[in-house]
Amino acid sequence: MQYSDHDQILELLNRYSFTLDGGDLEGFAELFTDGEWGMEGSMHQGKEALLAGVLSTVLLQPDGTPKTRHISTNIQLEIDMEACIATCKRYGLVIQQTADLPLKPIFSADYFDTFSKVDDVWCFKKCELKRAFVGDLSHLFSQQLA
Amino acid sequence: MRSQDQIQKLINQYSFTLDSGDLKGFAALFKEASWHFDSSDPVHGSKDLYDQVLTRVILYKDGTPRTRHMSTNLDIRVDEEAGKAECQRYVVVVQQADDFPLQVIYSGEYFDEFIRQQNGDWRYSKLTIRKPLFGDLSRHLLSRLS
Repeated sequence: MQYSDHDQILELLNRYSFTLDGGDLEGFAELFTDGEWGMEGSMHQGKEALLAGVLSTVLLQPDGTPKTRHISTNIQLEIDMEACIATCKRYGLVIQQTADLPLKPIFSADYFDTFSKVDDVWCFKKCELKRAFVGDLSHLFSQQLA
Repeated sequence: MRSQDQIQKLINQYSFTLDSGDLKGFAALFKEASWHFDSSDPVHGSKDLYDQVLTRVILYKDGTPRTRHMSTNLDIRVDEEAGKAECQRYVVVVQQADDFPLQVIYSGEYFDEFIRQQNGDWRYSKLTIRKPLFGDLSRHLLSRLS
């Protein structure tokens, strides 16, 4: 089956959530092998920096996952086929439930993604979170993010 | 841009304008459209929508209502021949303000109706909100919608 550019990029957005929420932190970091991720003004460039700077502080529960769901909505994707660049604005909402934390939203932000197509494959160049609504993150991170 | 994409963009504009505090931009979406909230009287056009509904929206220091109107379960149907389109979707609104922890404050079923204009661009003709579920709206609206 042939996937359209649009579908390929949506697939990347889904892998963002599926890897993270599935506890596959290595797989999540790999999405940013040639990209950067972070909150506005505090970006982490590349897989190793992301693993060391952020993902090492993610708390995994006994089932090996953070017991979160990263829900993406309001996806506004614009693809520039000639330049092989795409930009996306979306909303993210993270809900979590653990043994000690009743189900609730713990975080929300505007997500600004940039993608580029190299050798016919789309990949993340940047994912920047802005205007964050921070809830109780004490069950997701072992320490406060800088 | 395909009709489907244009309509999805209008639906995203609904949230992006409102949640960023661009109330004039939000009202402009309903220049030639009506906004129906449940069983209350419909509001027609940008001016009435602004005067009767949007003046009740509480804006915070950052100039926004500190909300996210998250749209999910989009079911868009386009009738290209008739130049009409409609969408049924779910909306969940989350909010976080200074003294108000991140939480779900509202949810509704949204029925959007669109018309294709002479120049080929789509615009809103009607929005109906049904079956509202109310949380704590005290930090979002000065007086409750009835």
